[in-house]
Amino acid sequence: MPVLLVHSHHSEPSDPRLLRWVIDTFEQLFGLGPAVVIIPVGVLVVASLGLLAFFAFRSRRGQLYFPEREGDGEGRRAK
Amino acid sequence: MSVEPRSRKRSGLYYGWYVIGAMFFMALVGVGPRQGLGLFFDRWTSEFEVSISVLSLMAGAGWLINGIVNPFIGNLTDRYGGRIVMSSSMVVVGAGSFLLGISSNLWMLAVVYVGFISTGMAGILFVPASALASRWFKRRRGAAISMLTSGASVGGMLMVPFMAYMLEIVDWRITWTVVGGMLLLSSPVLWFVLRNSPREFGLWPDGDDGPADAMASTSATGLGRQGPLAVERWQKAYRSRPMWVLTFGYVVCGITTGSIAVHFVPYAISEGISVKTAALAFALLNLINLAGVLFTGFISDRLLRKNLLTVVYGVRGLAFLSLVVFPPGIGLWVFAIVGGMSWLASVPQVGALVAEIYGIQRAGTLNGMLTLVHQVGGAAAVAGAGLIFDLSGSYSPFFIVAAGTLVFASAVSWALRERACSVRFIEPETPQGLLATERA
Repeated sequence: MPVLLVHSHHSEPSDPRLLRWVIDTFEQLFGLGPAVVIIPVGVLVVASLGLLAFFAFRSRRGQLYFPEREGDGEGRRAK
Repeated sequence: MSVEPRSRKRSGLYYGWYVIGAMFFMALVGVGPRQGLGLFFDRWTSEFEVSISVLSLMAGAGWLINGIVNPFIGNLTDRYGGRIVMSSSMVVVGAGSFLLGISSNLWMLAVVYVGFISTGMAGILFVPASALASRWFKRRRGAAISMLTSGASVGGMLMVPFMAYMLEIVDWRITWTVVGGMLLLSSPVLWFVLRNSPREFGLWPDGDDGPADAMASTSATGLGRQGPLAVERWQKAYRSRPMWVLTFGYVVCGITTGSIAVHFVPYAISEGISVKTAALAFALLNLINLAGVLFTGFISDRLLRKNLLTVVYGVRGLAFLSLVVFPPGIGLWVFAIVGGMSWLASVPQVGALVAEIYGIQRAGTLNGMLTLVHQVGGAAAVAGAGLIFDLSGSYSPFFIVAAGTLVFASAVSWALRERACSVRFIEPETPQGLLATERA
C-alpha cells in the first residue's frame, strides 16, 4: 500500500491520483490553459503579501502607542 | 523592546490581525512544497529510476520527522518567540524548495525533502502559529487560531494547482525554483509584519483599550493573567488531567485523519467505487473542512471549548460509522459531508485550550508535544488499517474501531473541567482560583 497522503491536518503530501483528477476535471469544466491559472494565482500571492505589508506598516504608524508623543518622557519609540 | 501598555482609544484594525494575516499567508504558500510533493512522483520515477514505494517511503519519513521536530520548534518558540522561528523556518522551506530543484540524485532529494522541507514546515504551521496567536489574542483566541489554520486549506486549493500547472509548461526543476524563490522573497516581508507580543508596540491583547477588560489584565511577567494550572516547565503539565485528556483526543485525531488520508481512495476502490468519485468526495470534504474550521473557531470564543471538542470528535465518529452503516456509494458522501465539518476543527480548540489552561509561556512546547503524538498516532493507524484490510479483506473493522475511539475521545473531552482550570473562567481574586488546581 503506497503511502500517498491526501490533505490532512498537518498538510501531508496529497495523493497524486486525486490531484491529477482535480486538475483534469477543472480543465474539462473550464477549458483553461496553464497560464490562466498560474498568472492569477501568482499575482494574488504577490499582491496579498504587498497589501499585507502596506497595511501593517500604515497600521503601525497610525495606531500604535508612542509614549514620547504625549510628552510623558518615559518611553522610546516602539520598534 | 516592549513598551508598557497604556489605556488609550485607538482606531483602525488591531495590529494582531495583521500578525494573523502574516501567519495565514505563511500557511497558504508554505503548504505548497509539502502537499504538492505527489505531483512530482511521475517525473522522479522516470528521471531517478526509483519506484513509487521508495518515494512514498521518503514522504513517510518526512511525516515522521515533522512530528518529531514539532516539540523542539515549540520549545524554540517559547524561548525566542514565534517571529524568529517562523521567519527562519520560511527561509528553510524556501531554501529546501530551491535545493530540490537542483537535486541530482535520489539521496539529495530525500535529504532535502526530509531535512529542509518537512523540518521547516513544522516551523511555519500550527505549533508556533498557535503559540504566537495566543499572545496577541485572548477573548478572540479561537477565531484567530482558526483563521490562520484555514490558510493551510486555502493554500492547498491555490498552491497545489499552481504547481501542477507550472509542471505542464516548465520543467519540474524550474517549478521548485520558482516556489523556493517565492518563499525566500516573502520571508523578509513576513519578518517585518510579525511581532512576538502586543507589548512590543504598547498594545493590549485583542486590541482592548486597557486593563479594565477582564481578559486583558496582565501580570508582572507580561504573560497575562495565568490559570491555576499554568506551568513554567512543560513537563509539569503532564502531572494534571487536562493534558492527558487533550493528548488522548489528539492521538485519536491523528489515528482517524491519518488513516483516511492514506486509505480513502483504496477503500473506495475496494468497495467498487471509482477513483474519480472518491476524489470528488474527498475534495468536498476539504471544502467543507474550511467552513467547519472557521465556524467552530469563531463560535468557540463564546462557548466552552471542551463542548465543541466533544462535538467535533463525536461528529467525526458518526462520519466513520456512516462508512459502515450506509451502502458504500452513499456512505462515502455522508462521510465527506459530516466528516468534513470536523476535519480540521480540533486544531483551534486544542491550541486555545492549551494556552488557556497551561498559560502561554510553554504553549509552543505543549502544542508541539501534542502534534508529535498526533503524527505518531496517524502513522500507526496507516499501518494498522492496512493490516486489518489485509487480514479481513475489508476496512469495516477498522472504521468501527475508529468510530469507537472517537466516541471515547468525545466522552473524555466532555469530562474536561474547563471552567475549573481555564483562565477564561477564573477570577483571579476569588477562592475559586485557589481551589481550582486541586479540583482540576
